[in-house]
Amino acid sequence: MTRASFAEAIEKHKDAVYGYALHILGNTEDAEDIVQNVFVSLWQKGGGLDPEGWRPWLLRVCRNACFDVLRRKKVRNWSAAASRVADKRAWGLAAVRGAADDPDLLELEATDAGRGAEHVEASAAASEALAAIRTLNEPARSVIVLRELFDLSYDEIAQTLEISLSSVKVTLHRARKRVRDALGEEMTT
Amino acid sequence: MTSPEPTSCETAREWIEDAVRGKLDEPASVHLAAHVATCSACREAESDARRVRAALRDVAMPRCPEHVVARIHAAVDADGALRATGRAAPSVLERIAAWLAGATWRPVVVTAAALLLVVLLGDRRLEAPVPGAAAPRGAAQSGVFCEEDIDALLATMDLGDIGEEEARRAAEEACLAFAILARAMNRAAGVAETELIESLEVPVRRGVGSGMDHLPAPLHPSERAPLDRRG
Repeated sequence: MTRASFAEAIEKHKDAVYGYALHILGNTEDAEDIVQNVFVSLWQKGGGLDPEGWRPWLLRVCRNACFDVLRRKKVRNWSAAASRVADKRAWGLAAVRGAADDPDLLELEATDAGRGAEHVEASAAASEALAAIRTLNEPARSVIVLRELFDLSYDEIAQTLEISLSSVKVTLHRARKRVRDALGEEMTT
Repeated sequence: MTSPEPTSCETAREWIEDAVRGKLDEPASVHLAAHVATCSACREAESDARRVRAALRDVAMPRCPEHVVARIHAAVDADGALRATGRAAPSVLERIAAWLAGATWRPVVVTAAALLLVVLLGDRRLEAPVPGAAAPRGAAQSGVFCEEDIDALLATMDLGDIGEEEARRAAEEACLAFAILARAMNRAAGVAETELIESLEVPVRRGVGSGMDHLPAPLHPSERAPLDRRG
């Protein structure tokens, strides 16, 4: 891999890696460290990777690195806690319900004082949808996030999460149904 | 206009993905419309997909800060420089050596911090194995440095104005402090010591893959020579 192609990979995928790390960790500082480590890993891997496979590879490495961070922080309920902080602080949602009662969230918030405020606010419908996504378990939560927010293909999602293509399809279908049920019938489009 | 050909549900689901993103061409759209008109499951799937997609359209994706890109390039430059010199990534001992090389007071601070942590955690028994002390095999060897380790560490140091005796004492204290700190953290967290060591990216001296292959083979505690602990 040349430095030029490496720079191109960074430019093309840095936002996705950063966003996914932020989505899992809810902490911009940790997310930045993850992004750096993930791309350094890509550089060290060199030319052994097809550029077409960069994005799922990067996101898979990112995901594993994020889980390592959470394990070190002993965050057990990461699926709910980290995302609530991410949604509120970094993804720009104004209303986050039930946050004050969540000890995991408070623990994370203590490590993430006031970061991410530059991001724009999302709509009420998005807030509702994200709230519904937060209630999903893994891998459903990651499947719908990677599909709807990161626009990954089925194949890329399967590679990222290391699950089968059919699992991606079934899981996405069920996840969407859960989110739609939560949105109700009055959502404006 | 001819009637569209029958479409399978599997094909329809793939088309739905493109349709909600505005990427489905006109002929396929006709086929999809015909299919969902007669298939309630696919009709519902399309409706779900459209509604979720519409709800999330206002979510702003965070952008990676530019300073992170600069950090990535700096890290890669450093990695390249390291490779150019023919050296592998620094081992934990080399990192400790680099850390020690800056100031001789640092080990004292580490020792104090480790001891303070032990006291704060209520663990006054100080069961951490110390260099040269008799210790059981297995977990107790994790994170323990023997005299050969100290020699290896000193060999990597640019002593500069620091005398060898002073450097050796500082290295010993740093290694001892690390051992105490690791054991204290282990006990406080209730996690396996090997897990703790691995999480700290500290090589565990237990054979293949230890990351410390350049050092002499691990010694049985009974084989370890007592260190001359000064000061």
